[in-house]
Amino acid sequence: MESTAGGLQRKLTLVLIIVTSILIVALAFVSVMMGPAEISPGQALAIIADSLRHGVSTDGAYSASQAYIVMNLRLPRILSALVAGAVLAVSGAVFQSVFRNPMADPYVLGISSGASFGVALASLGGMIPAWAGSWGLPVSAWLGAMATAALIMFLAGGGGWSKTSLLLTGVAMNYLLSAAITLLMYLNQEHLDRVLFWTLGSFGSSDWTKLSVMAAFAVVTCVPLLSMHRELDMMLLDETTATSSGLSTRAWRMLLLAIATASVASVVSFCGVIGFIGLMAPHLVRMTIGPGHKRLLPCSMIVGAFLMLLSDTLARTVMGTTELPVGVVTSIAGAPLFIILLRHTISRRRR
Amino acid sequence: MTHPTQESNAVRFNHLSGGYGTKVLFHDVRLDIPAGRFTSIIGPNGAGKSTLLKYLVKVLLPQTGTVYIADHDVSTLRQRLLARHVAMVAQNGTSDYEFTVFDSVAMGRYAHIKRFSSLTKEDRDSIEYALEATGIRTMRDKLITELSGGEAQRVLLARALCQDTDVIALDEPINHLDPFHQRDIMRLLRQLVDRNGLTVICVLHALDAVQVFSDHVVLMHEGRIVATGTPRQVLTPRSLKETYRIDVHEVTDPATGATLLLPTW
Repeated sequence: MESTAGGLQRKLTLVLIIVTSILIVALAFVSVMMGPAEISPGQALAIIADSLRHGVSTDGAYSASQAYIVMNLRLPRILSALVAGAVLAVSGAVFQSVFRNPMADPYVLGISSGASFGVALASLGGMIPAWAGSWGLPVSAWLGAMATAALIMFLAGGGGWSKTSLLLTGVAMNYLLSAAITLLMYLNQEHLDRVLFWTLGSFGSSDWTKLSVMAAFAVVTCVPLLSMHRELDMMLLDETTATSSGLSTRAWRMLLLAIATASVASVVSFCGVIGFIGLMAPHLVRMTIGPGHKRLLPCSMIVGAFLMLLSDTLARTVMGTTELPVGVVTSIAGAPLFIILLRHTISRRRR
Repeated sequence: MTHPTQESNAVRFNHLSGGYGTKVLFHDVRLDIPAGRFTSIIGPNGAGKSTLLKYLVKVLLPQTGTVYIADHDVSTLRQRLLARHVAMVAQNGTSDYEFTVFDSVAMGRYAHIKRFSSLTKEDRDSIEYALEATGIRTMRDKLITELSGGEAQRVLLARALCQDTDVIALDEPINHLDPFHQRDIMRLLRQLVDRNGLTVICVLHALDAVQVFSDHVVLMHEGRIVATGTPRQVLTPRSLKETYRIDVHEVTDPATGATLLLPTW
């Protein structure tokens, strides 16, 4: 039985989870040491161990500034990248199922741009009340993203569109929103850096507070999505089969899209727009272990987390002291995959 | 095969009117489908056969009129509950995603599974029964993208079967199959009626298969029911001429002695 396709899928799931988890831990360790300030593996371990025990260094193995860099700069940044990668990967997988389109993802469809526009507009326009605190940004991102998603759904007519029409709608949406964001930049030239941050994506400003809010959003959005694996599977069927099997397709499509959009919005509000993780991670996982969402979603999470940490580590180290926007790195890797998928889809339809 | 008018009905279409957009397709359609029988719905393209099935599984809603299944008004049943009464094998229902046969069939249990719970013993028994009944047990771990047309159709049927309903509706289930697999699927459906007492409602184009396998035939034309009854009553040279615009003549099958209609090409 194990030589069959189904048996192979099950085996590979375990291999994928174990291998990726080991890679994540190893990469996180490497990442904590890398950067302008030199920190040895032993120092990094000692700093983290001491912090976990709430102890203070007594033997002088590391300096206070090294401890600060690890605990308040690098560690929250690494964890933010992992959380953001996991969330973007899950939301990508959900979008691909809801639109029954392997190229649909929040970035491609302009949902991420909608979120960044919402955040930029609200924060530059001073629309976020002081009492909202750390929650003001994700909520305004969510509003921007939801408006974009609603517009896409309205235009796409509930998934009845061809694959390319949907993508073209996303392209148009991205044009529109990037024009709007450029306009914001012109009107608020003194805050140019902040707007650029949301459009290019960066984990440079990660801290424990932002991380905990983002993680809270990740939990309340991803846990329900993980439990909806059956609905996500059924979404891949044709409308008649899914509906007659008992799925209220219209209601579920709205719900799944709303949750996935909320999860993306929270990531965008803290880290800016980072493209293609939601495309790459689910695609790599689907190729390995098949399309079933019970395994696809958790596996995409860890693969997405790994890809994001890898991208961010590259982004802050390849150019020496100059930091690249992480979105540049993910796009260099992800855009070619998008083109390959597009060619594949078009040739399949012609056949 | 007795005439089924005195028997109980599994499905009743009551004064249905409706269509797509502003185009009215149905005018006051009234139709009873007998329980535990094989009913074929025939008629030229565009007669409204598929639409009728979509009303039954609530993929579409009629503008006026009511569909009853087991005495429940379909429009008031939640989709999950409706799915425990009627299953459907849709046209082009095969997926190009690489699900295994088992996982694909197991989706038929959706209406029975509680959230957060995995497949129960009842679910598994039902899936095993469906795999067995459709003869695809040995393919359970294959990918559905690797199957032939006939095998893929069996998977769709198995998914509908493990939905555990009294009624199964099928929209042109043998259209893309070769003659061997056409017969194969038709025999399977007939068995399900005879042995398991299932109600089968099947949209068909193959008139020879309709004659051999159905108990009850519904002939539709331009959104109206033109005739209902046994195959002998409904399939006449005159009715086929008026609806399909084809000429048929009656021949006697030398093997069985049955009277069959042969279209003139």
